[in-house]
Amino acid sequence: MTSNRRLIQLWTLRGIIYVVLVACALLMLFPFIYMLFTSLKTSDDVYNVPPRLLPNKPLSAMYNGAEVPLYRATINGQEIDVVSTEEKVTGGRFTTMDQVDVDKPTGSASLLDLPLENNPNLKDTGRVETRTNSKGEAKEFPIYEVTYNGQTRDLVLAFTPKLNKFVDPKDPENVERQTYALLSEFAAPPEENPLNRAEKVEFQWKNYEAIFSLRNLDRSLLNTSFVTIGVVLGQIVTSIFGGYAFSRIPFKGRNTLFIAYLGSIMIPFAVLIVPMYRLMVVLGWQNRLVSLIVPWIFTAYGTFMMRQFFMTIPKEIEEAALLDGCSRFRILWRIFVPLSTPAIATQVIFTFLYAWNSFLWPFIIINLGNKQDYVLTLSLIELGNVYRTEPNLVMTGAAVTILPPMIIFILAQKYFIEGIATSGLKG
Amino acid sequence: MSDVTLHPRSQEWPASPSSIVTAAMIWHAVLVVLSILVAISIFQMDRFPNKNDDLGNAVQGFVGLVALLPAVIAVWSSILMLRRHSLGRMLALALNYVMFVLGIFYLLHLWGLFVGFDDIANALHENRTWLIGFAFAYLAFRLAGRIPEKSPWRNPIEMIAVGLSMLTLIVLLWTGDAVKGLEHIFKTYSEPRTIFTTLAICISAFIAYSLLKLGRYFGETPEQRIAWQGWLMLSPNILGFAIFFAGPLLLSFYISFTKSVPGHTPDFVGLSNYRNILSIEFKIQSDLRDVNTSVVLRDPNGEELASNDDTEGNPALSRIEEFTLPATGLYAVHAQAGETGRTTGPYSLAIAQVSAGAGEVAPPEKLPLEYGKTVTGELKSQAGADWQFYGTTGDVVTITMRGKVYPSSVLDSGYNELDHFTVGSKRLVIGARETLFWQSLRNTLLFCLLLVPLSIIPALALAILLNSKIPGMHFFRAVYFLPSVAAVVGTAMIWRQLYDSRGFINFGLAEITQFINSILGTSIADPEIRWLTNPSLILFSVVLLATWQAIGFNTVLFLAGLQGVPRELYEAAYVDGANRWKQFLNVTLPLLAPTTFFVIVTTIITGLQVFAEPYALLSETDPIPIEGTTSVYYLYRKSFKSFEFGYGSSVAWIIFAMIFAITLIQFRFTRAKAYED
Repeated sequence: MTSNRRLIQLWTLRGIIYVVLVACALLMLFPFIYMLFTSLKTSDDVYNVPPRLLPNKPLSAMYNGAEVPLYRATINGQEIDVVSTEEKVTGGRFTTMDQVDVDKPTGSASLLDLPLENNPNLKDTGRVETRTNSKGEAKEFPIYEVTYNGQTRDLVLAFTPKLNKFVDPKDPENVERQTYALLSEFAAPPEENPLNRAEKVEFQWKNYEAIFSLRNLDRSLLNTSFVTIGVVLGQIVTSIFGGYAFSRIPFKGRNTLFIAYLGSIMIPFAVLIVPMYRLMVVLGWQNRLVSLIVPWIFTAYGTFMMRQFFMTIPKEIEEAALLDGCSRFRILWRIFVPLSTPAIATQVIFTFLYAWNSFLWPFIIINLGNKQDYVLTLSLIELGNVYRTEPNLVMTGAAVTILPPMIIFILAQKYFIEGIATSGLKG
Repeated sequence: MSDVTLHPRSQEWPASPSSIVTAAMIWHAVLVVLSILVAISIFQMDRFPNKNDDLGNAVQGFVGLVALLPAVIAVWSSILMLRRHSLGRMLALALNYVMFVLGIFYLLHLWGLFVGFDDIANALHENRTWLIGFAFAYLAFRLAGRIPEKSPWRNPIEMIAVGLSMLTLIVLLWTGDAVKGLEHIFKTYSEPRTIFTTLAICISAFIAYSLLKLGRYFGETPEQRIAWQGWLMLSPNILGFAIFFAGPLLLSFYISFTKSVPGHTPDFVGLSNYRNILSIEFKIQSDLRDVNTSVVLRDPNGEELASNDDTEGNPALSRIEEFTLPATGLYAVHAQAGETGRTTGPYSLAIAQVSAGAGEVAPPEKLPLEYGKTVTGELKSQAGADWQFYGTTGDVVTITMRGKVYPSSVLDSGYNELDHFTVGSKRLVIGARETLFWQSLRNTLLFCLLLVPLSIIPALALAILLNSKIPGMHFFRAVYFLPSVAAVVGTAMIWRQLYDSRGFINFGLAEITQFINSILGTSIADPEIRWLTNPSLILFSVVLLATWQAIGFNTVLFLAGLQGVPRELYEAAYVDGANRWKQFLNVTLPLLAPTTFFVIVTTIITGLQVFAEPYALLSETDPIPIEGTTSVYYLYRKSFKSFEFGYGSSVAWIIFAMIFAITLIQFRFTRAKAYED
């Protein structure tokens, strides 16, 4: 009995934990989900009120040889997609008296919008309702006998708007499949719309095609990949050598050098921005891809990490190899590198993220407008400002920028989180 | 990596040691001459390094001295080598090695390889369809890896993969005009400096290689051999750091003491940049004087009923006398201190009921203005302000407004008002030369101050939940970590959309208020927050984005810390009758203190350098709003918009000083902890 209760307690607790964890996970993931769905929308759809996640595409139909928008109407309890055929049909807004806005009749809520002329469903009773508005004037509202949905009711005529006539394009003559509505009212509040555009969920994959021809984004993707590969390769090589020397080769001054090296981690990049910029100008590298690669292949972080890992490799292996006449380079290449795959993988991922996501340095060193040398982050900023009315495209650009590191992260999660947990480094 | 050159037991060089030493001497003599020539040419330059990018005399002198260094080392090492001193060989090795590496660097520069990275990317871009070849090659290689080793298929498929990648490479080289590139390299040899550099590289390499083999001749000890191997392996890092870290660091320090504008020789101005940036003054204003004021009374529909009459000839005192209210409802009083200029000052606004009207309806809620009460405060002269009061039909009221201002400016010339505080009738005005610096500093510190609790407390909570050893923990950990993997620019674009006035965040808030209203029957209005345009919210919006990105990272750090807490301690606490909360307070928190401290420090250090978040969120306006300006953004504007490099560098060193201080505190703390343990 007690064990049962404890079990229930345990699982209730776990249930609560799971609920909290899932809620937080959704919160954390929501921006990315939003990005993915928005990147597959049309630009009008982004501004739908209220906002929604799934991409919808407004439907249209061929009618009288032209492509016209389709609207979704509910006629006699049936959802029918209709098109507008006639405009400015004199109609009437019929509603119950309590729905009538006496001060502003055009703002009255609609029960039915019907054409006034030649309408067999309408019969003027001749009676009127009189109401006084806030200014003290008397207003008269005629009462009609209206037949709809097979019922006949007395309704007041709030005002006489110009209506659009909507018919089913497949069956335009069928009176049962026709309706009238005030088209200009389609704006807010949206839930009171008599008719909405007919829509269906459709993913605009062509956004991803379009984005690459816009603002040279394909070039930026290539540049970012090029720069990232260069920086990753360079950092791995320099930090393997440096890490090995710091961990295994004793020489005078090594520890002083190591401390100086560690100290350099403390220097914020902000201090180096101006002189690095000037150095690049002097070297003629400003506004060139090389400025994003060569200065960044020397890394104190990486060297430190590799050193820490190499320290854990038993000395005996190396000593045996040295006695056999193996050179240091051979030992490093044949023994240390294969043994430290996890550390190297961790560093590759860190460097990849750092190089792929870097923004401040490219932003400073690559001139505005030199699109040839833009990396993704630069293109995305520009995209965001130039295409601000088309957030779907901006989100597509964001997806192109964000997804590759994310995929790498998901594939190589293990190395990643271990790397952070052991050293607390930031990419 | 070739290991032949460095084989420790390799044979002695066939040539006699003395001839090699002689060759080295001759080469060193050449180096001495060259290095002196280079130094002289540097010293004689009108502007260094060229006409457009003048770095100043100090840099010129420094680089000139550095250029003399090879000469000194060449002479020194030659003398020692003559004495068969092993240090001489080491120095000569180092010298020739560095010459060799720098020579290659320079040769590649002459070849145009570095600048040519752009052309490579260009060619890759033009022939990007061919890149698929590498993908296929990689796939084939992976496939071959899956096949059991003994299978006859493995080898051929591997060969195909290698062949495919080679083929792709050749096609890419061909279509990418590699031949033209080679031609270009050959053409550079029409210049003597290319030929000479190539020659110098070869000679240096030859001398270094020959000297390497002369270990026995110079009586090299095993320790020395190990030592040069260490230095050699560290050399890429050392050279890279000298060029791209230490050099720029010194330069930055120097620039911060200069007035440095492109196209002009930087002037050494001492601490003037720092003084300008940091100068701040406090002044007290007390001598108030009267100011023109005006009051306007409006009825519930916003129509003007009455305004003050200045007939009394005392503009400082405005009155609407004995006015009879025509209806019951909310009335508005608009008050204004009518003097132009940047005058602000205290005011008092009072409304007195002369006689009561017919109505006895209670006012709907407490309003700022009530009969018989005086409102006081500080009023901006231009905008004025509105107050409401509730009146009933027939009330006769008198409205009185009196305003005072402080004298227009008490600040020294060159100073602008940063902020002020009013204490009684006195006012403390804070002025600064660079108000934007202080504002940016304030924003940056506020950013850190908000980010630390917002990102650390949820992270700790999540870490504790994740640490409860339940299935699926790795999945959640990964999910929480995802935001920190994404590029800040990308996430900022997403959040910009979410922050939109019709975006998801406002939609969610509206739904929540509606929900609360429907449950509690209240009528809270839809907040309709303008996240990125409301000045008082901008920084908070930036913090929210940064928080979202930082939580996962901090969670992982906390998890690592939690996993270091021994389980026995919890068991002991459980035996002692501590409940979960007590366990958290007395076991988890104290043992997690170092981790927490570390997380706080790293969060602050990254927070102090924040740039991409505010910039990407707010870059629709240029410059971004002051409320979102952080220190690094200020640095960026100073350095690269108004090209005041000196100022920019000073700001950078001030940021560094703050980070340094925080790191020192951390160091102290961890030291103290280490001693305790």
